[in-house]
Amino acid sequence: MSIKKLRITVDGKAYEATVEVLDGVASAPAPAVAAVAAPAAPVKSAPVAAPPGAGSPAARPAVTAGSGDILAPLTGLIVEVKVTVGQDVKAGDPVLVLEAMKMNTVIPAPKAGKVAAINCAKGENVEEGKVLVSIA
Amino acid sequence: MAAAPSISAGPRSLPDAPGWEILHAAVVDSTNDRAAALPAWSCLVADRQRAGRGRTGRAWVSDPGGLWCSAVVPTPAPASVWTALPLVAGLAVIQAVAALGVQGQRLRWPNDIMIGNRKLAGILVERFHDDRVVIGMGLNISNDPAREDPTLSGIPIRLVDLLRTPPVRDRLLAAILGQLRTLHGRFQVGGLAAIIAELNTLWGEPREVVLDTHDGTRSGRFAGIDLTGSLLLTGADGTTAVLPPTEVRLLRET
Repeated sequence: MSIKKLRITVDGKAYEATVEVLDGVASAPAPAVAAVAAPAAPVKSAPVAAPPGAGSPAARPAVTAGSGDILAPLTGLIVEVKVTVGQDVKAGDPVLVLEAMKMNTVIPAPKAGKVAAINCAKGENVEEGKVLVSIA
Repeated sequence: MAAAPSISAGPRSLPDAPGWEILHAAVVDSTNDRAAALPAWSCLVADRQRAGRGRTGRAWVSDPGGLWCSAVVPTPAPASVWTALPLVAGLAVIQAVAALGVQGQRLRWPNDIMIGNRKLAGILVERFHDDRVVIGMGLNISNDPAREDPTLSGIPIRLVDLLRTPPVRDRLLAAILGQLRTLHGRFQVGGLAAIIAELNTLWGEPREVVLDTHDGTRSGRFAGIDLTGSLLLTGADGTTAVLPPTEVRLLRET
C-alpha cells in the first residue's frame, strides 16, 4: 500500500488530496481523486479492477480491431436502435442508445461501413459485453 | 437535422451563473438533442419542446411556462464515476429550488424531484460524446402539463403551487446552473464522497419501493445510498440489501 499526496487544480482552485493506492488499484471511496493518480486512461480499459457497485465505466465499446462489432459498454436497456440492416454508416454515427440508471449513452459506429447485423432490440436488457450491432 | 439549435437569443451569460453560456430557442423538438452539439458549460433553454424526452424514451410534456433546458458539462474523470452524475444534477436542482424558498422537496432515486407524491422536476442525463455530458432538466413553474396530457392528472406539481411569487425562469435557471457548476467541481475532485452526506438527507422518510433489476425485482424500504452509489434496501427482517446502481433499472414507490 502506498500513500500519495496530490494537488489537483480545477478551474483555477487547488485542492490537496491524500490518496491510498491499494495493490496498485485506486480504492473505491474517492474514485475521482484516486483515479487522477492513476496513469492509465481508464476510459478504454476493461472494468476488471472496479470494486463491486462502483459502476461500469462508460467506456467506448470494446471493439475487436477490424471486426466492426459493437459491444455493450455497460449493462442496461436498449432505448433506441438508430440504424437498420444494410444501412451505410460513417465512423461516429450514432447507432444505439443504451440506458443505465436513467442515463442514456449514445453508442457510435466504430468505423465506416454497412450495418451487417443487429443483435438487439428496443426494450431489451443487455449485459455488458454483448455484441449488439455488427458493422461490415 | 440541423446541427445548430434554432437560437433566438444568445449566447449570453447570467450574473448568478458565472462561466455558463446560455442559448435560447422558442421551440425545439428536444433541448437535449440540440445541446449535443454544444460545448461544455453551454445551456440551451426552450420555451417549449415538441418532443421532450423522459426516461426510457417516454415523452416529457414541456408546455409553455416551465423550465426546459439542457446543460452541458465536462465528463468528470475518471469515466467510471460519471454514473453518479444524475445524483449530482438532482442535488443541484433541489438545492437551488430550496434556496428560492421551496420547502418539502425530496429526491426520489435517482433524480426525480418530488413534493410528496407529486413531481416537480425530472432530469435526463445523456452522453453523446466522450468528453461531455448533457444534463436535461425539466421543471414545472407555471405551466399545466395535465392539461396537455390528462393522464398526468395529479402527478405534476408546479412552483406556482408552492410559492406565492414563483421566480422568473431566468432566476431559477441561474440558481440551478450556479449550483450545478459548484457541485460538478466538488464531485470532480472528491467523487460521490463529496456530496453523499447531503444526498442521504434528501430521500425523505423511508418508503416501500420495488426495484426493477436485470434479473427480476427487489422490494424493501429505501434507506439511501452508499459511497459506491449502491442502493440500500431494508427488508422486513431488518437486513439491508445493497444493490449496485448499474443493476437497477427503475425504482417504483409502492
